[in-house]
Formats: sequence, structure tokens, C-alpha cells
Amino acid sequence: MADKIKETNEYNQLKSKYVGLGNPDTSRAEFMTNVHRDTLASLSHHSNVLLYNSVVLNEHPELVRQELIKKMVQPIKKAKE
Amino acid sequence: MLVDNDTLYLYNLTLKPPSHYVSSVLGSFLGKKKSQEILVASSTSIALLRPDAETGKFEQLSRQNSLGVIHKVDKLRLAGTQKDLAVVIGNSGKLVLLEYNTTSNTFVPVLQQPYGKTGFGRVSASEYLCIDPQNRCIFIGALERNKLIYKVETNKEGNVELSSPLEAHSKQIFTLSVAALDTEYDNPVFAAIECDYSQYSTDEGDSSNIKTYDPESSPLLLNYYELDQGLNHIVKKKSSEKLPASSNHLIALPGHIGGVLVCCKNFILYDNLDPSMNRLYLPLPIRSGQQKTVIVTHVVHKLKKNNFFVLLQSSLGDLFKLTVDYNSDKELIDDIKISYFDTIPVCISINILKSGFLFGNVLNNDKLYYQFEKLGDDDDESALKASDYLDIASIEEEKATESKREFEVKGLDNLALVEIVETLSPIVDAALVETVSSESSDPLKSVVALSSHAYIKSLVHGIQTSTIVESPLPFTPTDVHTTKLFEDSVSDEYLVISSKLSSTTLVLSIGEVVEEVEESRFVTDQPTLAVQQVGKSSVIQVYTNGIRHIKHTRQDENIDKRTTDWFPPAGISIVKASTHKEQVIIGLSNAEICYFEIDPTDDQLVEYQDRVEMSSSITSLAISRDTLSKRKNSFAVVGCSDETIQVLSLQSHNCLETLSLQALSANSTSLVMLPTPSSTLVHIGMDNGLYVRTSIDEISGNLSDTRIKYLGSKPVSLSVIGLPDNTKAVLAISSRPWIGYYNAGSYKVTPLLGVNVSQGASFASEDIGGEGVVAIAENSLVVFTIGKEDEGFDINQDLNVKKLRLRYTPKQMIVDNISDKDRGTVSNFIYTLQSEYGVKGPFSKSLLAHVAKQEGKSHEDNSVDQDYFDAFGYKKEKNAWASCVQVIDVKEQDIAQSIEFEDNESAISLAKLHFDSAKGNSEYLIVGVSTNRTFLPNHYDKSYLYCFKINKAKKSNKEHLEFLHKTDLDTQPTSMIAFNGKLLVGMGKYLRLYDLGQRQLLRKSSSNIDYLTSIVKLLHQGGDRIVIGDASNSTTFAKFDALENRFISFADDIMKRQVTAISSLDYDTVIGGDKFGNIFVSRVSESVSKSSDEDWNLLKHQEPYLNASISRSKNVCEFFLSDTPTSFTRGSLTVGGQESIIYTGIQGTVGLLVPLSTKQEVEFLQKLELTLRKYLNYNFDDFEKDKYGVNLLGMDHLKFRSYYNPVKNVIDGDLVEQYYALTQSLKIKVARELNRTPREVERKISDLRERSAF
Repeated sequence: MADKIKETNEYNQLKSKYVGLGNPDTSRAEFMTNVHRDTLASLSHHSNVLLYNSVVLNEHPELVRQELIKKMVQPIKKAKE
Repeated sequence: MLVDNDTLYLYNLTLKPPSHYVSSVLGSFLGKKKSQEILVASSTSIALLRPDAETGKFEQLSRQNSLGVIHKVDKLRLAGTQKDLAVVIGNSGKLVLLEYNTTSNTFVPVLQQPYGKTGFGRVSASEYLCIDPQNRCIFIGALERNKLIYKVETNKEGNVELSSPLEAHSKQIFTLSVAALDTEYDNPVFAAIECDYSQYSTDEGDSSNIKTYDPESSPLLLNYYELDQGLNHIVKKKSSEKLPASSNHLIALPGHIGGVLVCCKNFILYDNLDPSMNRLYLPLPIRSGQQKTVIVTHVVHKLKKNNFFVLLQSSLGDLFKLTVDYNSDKELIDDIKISYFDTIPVCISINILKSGFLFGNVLNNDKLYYQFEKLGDDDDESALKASDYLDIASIEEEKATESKREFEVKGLDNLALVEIVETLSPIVDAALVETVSSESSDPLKSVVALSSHAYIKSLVHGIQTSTIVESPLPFTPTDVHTTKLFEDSVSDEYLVISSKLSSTTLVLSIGEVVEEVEESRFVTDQPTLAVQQVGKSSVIQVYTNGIRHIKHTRQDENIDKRTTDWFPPAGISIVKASTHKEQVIIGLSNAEICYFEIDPTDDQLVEYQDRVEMSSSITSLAISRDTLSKRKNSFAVVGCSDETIQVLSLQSHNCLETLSLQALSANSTSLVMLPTPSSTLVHIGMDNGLYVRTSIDEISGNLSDTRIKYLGSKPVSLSVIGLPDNTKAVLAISSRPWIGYYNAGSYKVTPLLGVNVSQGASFASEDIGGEGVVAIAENSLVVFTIGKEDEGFDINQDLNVKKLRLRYTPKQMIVDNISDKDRGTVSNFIYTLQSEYGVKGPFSKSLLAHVAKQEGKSHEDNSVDQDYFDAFGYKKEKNAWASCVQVIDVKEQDIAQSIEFEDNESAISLAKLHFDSAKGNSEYLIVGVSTNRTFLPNHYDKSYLYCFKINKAKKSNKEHLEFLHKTDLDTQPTSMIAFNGKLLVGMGKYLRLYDLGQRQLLRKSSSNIDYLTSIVKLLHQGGDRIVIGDASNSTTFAKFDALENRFISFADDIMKRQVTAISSLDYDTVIGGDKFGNIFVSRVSESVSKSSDEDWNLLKHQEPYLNASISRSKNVCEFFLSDTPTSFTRGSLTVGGQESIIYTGIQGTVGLLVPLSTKQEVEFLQKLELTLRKYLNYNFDDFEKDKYGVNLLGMDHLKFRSYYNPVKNVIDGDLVEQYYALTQSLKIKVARELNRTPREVERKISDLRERSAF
């Protein structure tokens, strides 16, 4: 039993160190949140993709970037109807 | 490495590096006092520009390919130095310090400090880069959590060092913006706008107690990270109050005030670390008719005595000037004022130079350079003051009542535009257009690119010329010569025009007026072969029947002329001649060569006693007209009609002896010898349009290092001309004029634009301001100079950009070539589809029914002030669309017709086709539109197809669109092409075929390919085969099954790519690019391709697997570009070049993929690439100058090009061309590993480039 607690503790420690770490008990929501956050981070970090989206949206890339980061807060939450 | 026999190998070359500059940094990188340069960095290259304070022109000091992705650049100055270092972060995971080396004119890394993995991720600290204004530390940060601070130190040797990083990780925090505060001598502090997401749960479960994040209203945090220098520790301090949700930009104020301005929507607040201080609030002016002002960039400019101002730019482009009234006694801010300054295009960054100029790193078009006329009106009336407002509420309340905040835009008042730096970013689509005119048989090739913010730009390779005089002549000239009369004359005095056809020579004097010289004593009833000033004051004329020597003696006002003649043996004429001021060599019609030298005492010609007979008749002859240090030429080159050239010695001990011989592929028509700094080059123009240059050994006369270039379909004639920068160049004229010149150590051959001549000669005259060219064009004489009229000659400007203003952001274009066989011309029309989100178009909506009636009228909408919208942009409106279709006449550079769409329709797709069912051979233009389209979330109301008939007026070669009808659709038509006489529309996952009907388009077939999500590109491969490019599922090959009347997919890609552009390479192969910057080539396996044509019934009933089609295509090539490809075109940029793939990227990249033809070539290049990777070592710790080349970012090249997928079968020419930049010893080392000489390697590299580019 002690092993299990130790394992959990170790896992939690690692999780705090490495963002996005998961195990078999990770919930679907948490998993998907991580996937979406990674995607949004990638979209906002690569200047070519950011420019691509900025041209389509006719918006300054910096504003598009901040919009994407704000989306990372609750990425899988559906937009308000 | 194994080279596969039947796969494709490509060689990547970047022709234009990306011009979307992520950073522009002002600093003195050269280390010179009072000199400021601008460092501009795009994702894969850095360039240093030096502005000229007087002319306002830019000189590009260096451009380097980074071979890694650059994300941010800033500058750092070490204590006690005058020189700025560039600090670069990128995807190499290293913090790189670069120093500019003024001897090699390149940036060289002085430090590469690894901080993380390569690549960009959520927690990789390469998103934010800030440098303490006192240059004490460097801050780098990630989007989420990670922040590192490096202290800058210098070691004993005076070299810069970075401490090990101090971590300032803050859990569950996203960072939106960071700024370094100016704290003077206090601890360095960095401020950040952040969002703490720990309070917003992401669990879907119980919705009752979830706190929802709303980007409109949920507050943000302002955190300060203070580096405690004493404790060597970072302290995180929260600002006392939270920030409004719209905070987006931070501005640090200069040190004597300190603190930070936080820009929010419509207002600014001031905050600092002092807990006792209350925040100050300042409203932002709002442009009249607009709802909001959002600041996107700023620049703080310090003047003398702690005086400063801040220029802020809003997302609309308006500049605001902000000043602070500071009471230094009480150490309190009395007031903050802001007023409207000027409007310039929206920038990514702005720099203000000490010399009073402003550099605007414009987001969507050419970069602009302004000069300050004044610093705004210090009008306290119109300025908004912080002292008038207490809090946010008071600002918001006031909006309705007070109109002081509203301002009207005005033309440039405080700034004046002085220079435009032409750039291409962003390119949304491109095509290769070949213009054939009646004057020249070879097409002029231009890449036509659509640029966002509404320009269509055509790029032509060539140097502009400006014609000074063009005057007709009484006869058809064949030759033109210029000469001066005395050795010490500066300008040319005689212009000699001769005609072989009418056997005449015309002598003109050059002065303020050009007139015929009566008393020239020239032989005028014979064609002239050469004219040369010899000795001190004599001129010789070589004509077909002899040589005339005219000695000029000045006698008071008059010039006494005495002539002496030399005649060849009877019945023999002179065919070729070449002259030097001390030597004359002529070729006779009996294949003999005569050689003369000038007697220095009396200027007379002395014939060498022997003549030499060549093996066959003489076709060309050359000695160098200008020798550098030596008195005389020691060699002559003779071209004979047995397709050889021979080198004859002119030295006294073995005069007229043949030293070497070289066989050619055709007869040489023209020869020129020209000394260059490194060697003497022999230029050979040949019958078959080839231009060869080869270098001649100064001692032995051996010819080596031959380079060949095809110039055109006509024989090449060569002459030496002077360039405005006092260097010599070779003018080579085939079906088009070219010049060959030395630039930065490499020899370039570039076409001349704007002139069409058949013969030319150099022409030095003070009246035209130095060096020009006099040339013959059909029946007239043309004098022109090289370089643009107003800008002069710039050797780097070999790519000419012409632009034409469009209305909205273009999306797609179709090039239509109409060939007129009678006139031998091709006129080009381009149909462009334009639509822009979030704006309202000012143009009157052309009622479609009336479009047809407008014919003959001016299509320009006169009621619209286009200049106004160019300067200030269209009116913004949320979710509005402005879209139109425009027809562009390429030759006239004019918009022939514009059709504006109404009812908030956004144009999506465009196709031009001929319907088989329609009568005649008229063509139709189909436009797909959706109404009320929005993004995020994606939505649209209705979709239509507009059908236009293209009416071609035969006489004028004009095209006109006539509206026919409109068809309702149930899904968005995302892509359209012509398919076997019908219209194929890709909509969502459906493929539909439409035929032309009377009142609308008629649906003939519908197929559903259920694993696709959104078809964005379609290609017709021929026959019944198409390729589908999907927004998330890469490419799919499909075949139209006539029996079932639907498309059935039979092969798809193994990767799920987000396709942005595809193009067909052959029946089985496509090249494509995805959103993330990859280029790929996929090919259907041979067996599947075969059975799709032969055993289709067998193939189509096979079971699909893994949620896709029945087979997978093979991935042939893979390459990471770091720029999103927007178009692929097959073709070549040079006349007669090898067909290659030209691609463009959204950030303004124009590049080329050259297919490699032989196995040896592939093996050689693979080995060279491998060796270069080894020598450009990314491991900086091992860096030794003699052992390795410079790897700017410390990025492993293999990792860079394999960012998403391992690079496959593509050799990176950008890396291979780094070979030129290696030191000589390294060049030898690399070449030795390949068992070659450096010269062979360099020749191979330049051959590859010249195969289809320049």
C-alpha cells in the first residue's frame, strides 16, 4: 500500500514538473485539454501559422496570438451559444 | 547512402527569403559611433540594413540564412563597449548572442547557451525575449509557466558570459506579454500580463460550480519578476490590483519615471511597483466611426535631458504620441497626455532613429521609411489627459457625451515618406506568367504573386534601364562604336555608326547636341569594324578594306588631322578586328591574322612581320580593350568557323603562336576579353544563343573553368560597357539584352529590362552623368543608362517588382493566356478572387444584372476615394465581408473589370472552364460564395455559385464578364475546377459535378468521400483521375466512375496533413504543402495506378481499410520550409531552363525545387550536404574557427529540415550554398572529402542554381 502512495506522490511530483503528463487514470477532459493547449500553443508560436491565420482573420498577428492564448484557459469548453 | 533509381530527388533553393520580419532592432551593430543600423529578422534569415542619413536610402550590409527558425531578436550592449550584440532565440533551444564581424560582413555567434529542447512548445522558453535596459540580464519566457533570467557577465578576457539561468517558474499561468522595466540602478524587474488558469476548471462534469473564463471580462494579472541581485534570486510580486480583461500591451517608461503603461481596449493605465501609488488612467483617442482602439506596437524615443515621448500604434494604423509630465522634485507623475499623431500602415515593430527617421516594419506590405517633419502639435486642447480621469468607470461614462476622444484621420502631417523597401510578405497565391510580345520571341517570365493587403505583384528578374534618347537613323545600322580623340579625354567624343547592309559609316560628335562631323577624315563609304583611340592623340578606324590612322595635332583653335592608310592584299578584306590602345589585331577574309602595335613615339601602326593563317575562316576575334596593370595584352583569342576558339600569344618571343585551343558546340559570333580582379575572363557569344565564359591563365594562356548560359534564340553579340559604379560589364545581346557583371565575388548574368536592342557600345559622357550605353534598335539609335531612373543603379536590385492595387485581400487567381497567332503575341488576363473579413467595402455594389450593360463605360468607381482607403484602410465592421472579382490586364497593368458582391457574401472559390454542353467555345467563370460567414466558430448561412460568361472582344483582345445566373447550394463550395467539360465542386466532404443550364447550373453527380472534412484543393490529373487536397486529411487520389456516376477514392496519404497548396507533377505524383510549413511529394504506387486504369472494377470493389481508401500513396519527398507554402508552379525562371517547381510561402518566400537528374549528382550532393553539416557544427562548445564554419543559431541542420517529419530526398541548397562562405582552408578540406577541388564544387553549385534560376 505504501508503494502505491509513494508512486502517486512521485507521479504528482513529476506532473508538476512536466506539464501535460498523464497516466491511465487521466480523465478524458484533462487529456483533451492538454491536446488542445498544445495545439493552440503551436498555432500561436509558429510565426508562419500565426500570419496565415492573421491574414484570414484580417487581424494583427499579436492580437490573434493573445486570443489563442486566452483560448488555452478552457480550450474544450464550447463557445457560448 | 543509397540512391533509389526511380524516386524523385529535389534540390531546394531560396530565391527570396521570407520578408515577414518578426523583429526589427535598431542598434549600432557595427560599433561605430553615431551610426545606427537596423537589424531585420525573418523566420529564417537576418539582414542588416544601414540607412543613409542624407538620402534616406538603405544599404543592405549583409544577409544571412539562419538555417533554423528565428523567433525573436533583441540587442544587448556590454558595459563599456560601443557595439551592440544581437540576442536571438529560436527553435534551436539556445540563447544566441551574435556579433557583427566588420571584416567578413557577417554575424558570428559569440555565445550559444542551451536552455531547452529544440522546437517550439507550450513550455519552451522561446516565446518572449526581454533585455534589461541597463544590459544586466536577459529574460526569456514561455507561453506557460517557464521563465528564465540570465545574468550577463564578462569574464577575465573581456568576453561575454551568461550565468546559469535563474528560474522563475510560476505554475498554472499563461503569459500574454512581457516588458523589461527601466529601473536604473535598482534590481532589474520584468513585468508580465498573465492569466492564472488554476481557478478555471476544465472538467466537463458538474457544470454548476465551474468558473467560466470569459476573454471579454475575466480579469488578468500584472506580475512583476524582480531579480534580487544581492540574493541572486527572483522575487515574484503581484500588482495590487488585477488588470482589465482587454489588457494586451506593456510599455516600460524610462528610468527616471519607471513603472509600466498597460494598454487596454480604449484606455491605458499606469502602474508601478510602489504600493503606495494609485493607478493612473488615460483614455485612448478613438477614430471617428470606429468602436475601439487597441494598441499593437509602440516605440519609446528618448530625447535629451530625460525628455522622451512614446509613439503607440493602434490596430488600425493610427499613431498616438504620449508624453508624461513628471515632477522630479516630488518624484510624481503630474500628468500623462496623449494625442493623435499620424496614420501609417499597421506595423509589427517601429524604430525611431536618432537622425530623425522612422522605420516602420509594416505587417502586410512594403516596409516604409519616414522622416520626421515635426513632433506633433503641442496642443493642450486636443490632448487627452490622465489628470481628468479617476478610474475606468469615468472613462467609460464619458464616451457617449464627450467628443474630445473622437478624432478624424488626416494625411501625413508629422511624417514624410522617404523610402519604400519592397517586400513580398504575405503571398497568398502565385503563378508563372509568360508574356510574349511581338518584339521579342522569347517569353518574359514573371512570377505573379498575390499579396495580402491588396496588391498583385509581378516579379521579373532583370535590371531596369532608363532610356535617355531615342532617335531614328537614315539607314539600318549594324554596328555602333564610340571613341575619344585624345588619350586624356574623359568623355567619348565620336559616335561611329556603320551599316554593313548599305556600306556606310556615319560619324557623329557627342556633345550637348549630337551632330554629324563633316571633317572627321573617316572613310564613310565602307562599314566600320572597329574604332580606337591610340597613342596620345590618334584614332584608328578599321573598315572592311583597310585601316585608317588619323593623327590629331592641336594647332591653336583648330585640330590638324593627318591620315595614313594601311591596305590588305588586293581582293582580301578585313572581317574582324579587335583593338587596344597600343595593339590592333585584325582577321582577314583569307583566314589570316595580322597584328599591329602602336609606335609610342609617333602613334603610328607597326605591323608584325609574320601573319598567321588559321585553320578555317575567322568568325570572331578579341583582345582586351582595357588591361589592368600590364601595358599590353599578352594573348588574343580567335574564334574559327570549325567551332573552336584558339588562344594566340602576343608576346615577343612567340608572337602569334597558338597556345591553346578549345572546341565549342557552335561557332562563336562574338568574343570579348575582360580582366576582373581575380582573373581575366574570355566571354564567348555563340551562334546557338549560348554565352560561355571561361577564365584564361595569365601565364600559359590556358582556358579553364567554363560556365555556360543560354541567353536566347538569336546569336549572341558581346560588347564591353561601363556600369555607373565604374566597373566594367559585358553587354550580351541575343533575343534580349543581358549584362554580365561581378558582384560580391560572384559573376552574375542578368537580363536588362525596358530596352530592346541589337548592338551596343559603351558610352562615357558627362552629359548623361557618367557611363551609359549607346545601342541600335532596328532603325534607331538608343542611349540608355543602367538602373532605374530615379534610384540609379543598385547591383542588388536584380528582381524587379511591379505592383497593382487590388481592392481586398486576394485569395485566388487564374491566369488566362489568349494567344493571337496573327500578331504572335499572347495577352494575359488574370482573374482574381478577393474577400476581406471584418471590413465594409466602400464600392458600390454592382447589381449583377447590370454588369453586362456597363460595357464601354469606365469601370473605375469614381465616387470612391481610393487614396483615402489606401492610407487609412476600409471601415471595420464585425463579421462583415467585402468581396469582389477583378479582371486584370497584365500587359496594360490595369484592372479591366471589377464585380463587387453584395449581401455580406464572401467569395471562396473560383474556376474558369468551358462547358462541353455549351455551344461555341465560350468560356465561363464560376465564383463560389457564402453569405454571413464567420470564423471561430465557423458558420455560414447560404452558399451560391455565380456563373459569368467570358466575352472576348476579338479586336481589342479585351475580356469582359457577363453575369448569367446564380445557383443555390447547400454546402460551402470550398474548391472548384474544370473536369472533363463540367464543373467539379468540392464542398465539405462532397464532390459534385455541375453542368451549364439555362437558369442555373445543373447538378449531374454527387459523391461523398466520408473520411474527408473540408476539400480545399482539387487537381485534375487527366483522364478520370483527380486529386483532392483536404484541410485535415492530406491528399486523396480519386477516379470518376462513369457507371456509378460518382467519384471513388483509391489512394490517400499516410499522413494527416492540413493541405494549403497542391500541384500536379505527373499523372501519379503530386507536390503539396501544409499549414505547418512542410513540403511533400506523394505518389500512387505503380501497381495501384495501373490497376486503376486497367482493372478499375477489381480495384473499386476492394475493401477500404483504416477509415480511409483502399490503398496508400507513397511519400516520396519531405522537407520542412518553416514558411507555409501557398502555391506551387511548374516552370523555369530562365529562358530555356530546366523545368522546376517554383513555390511561394505566406511570409514572402519565393523558392525553387530543382529536380536532380542523375544518380551521380544526387550522390555528390548528398555527400556534400553531409560533409557541410559536419563542418557547420551545431555544438558551439567545440567551436574552433579553423575547424568549423559558422552555425548561426546552433541548430542541427538535419533537425531543422526534419521539424515535423524526417527530411527525405530533398537536398537543401541553402545549406550547400554556405560552401561559398567557408574559409579557403575549409573549402579545401570539404572538397577533399569529396575527392574534388574547391573550384569543381563551386562550379557544380552554381550550375545547379543557373539550371533554372539566377
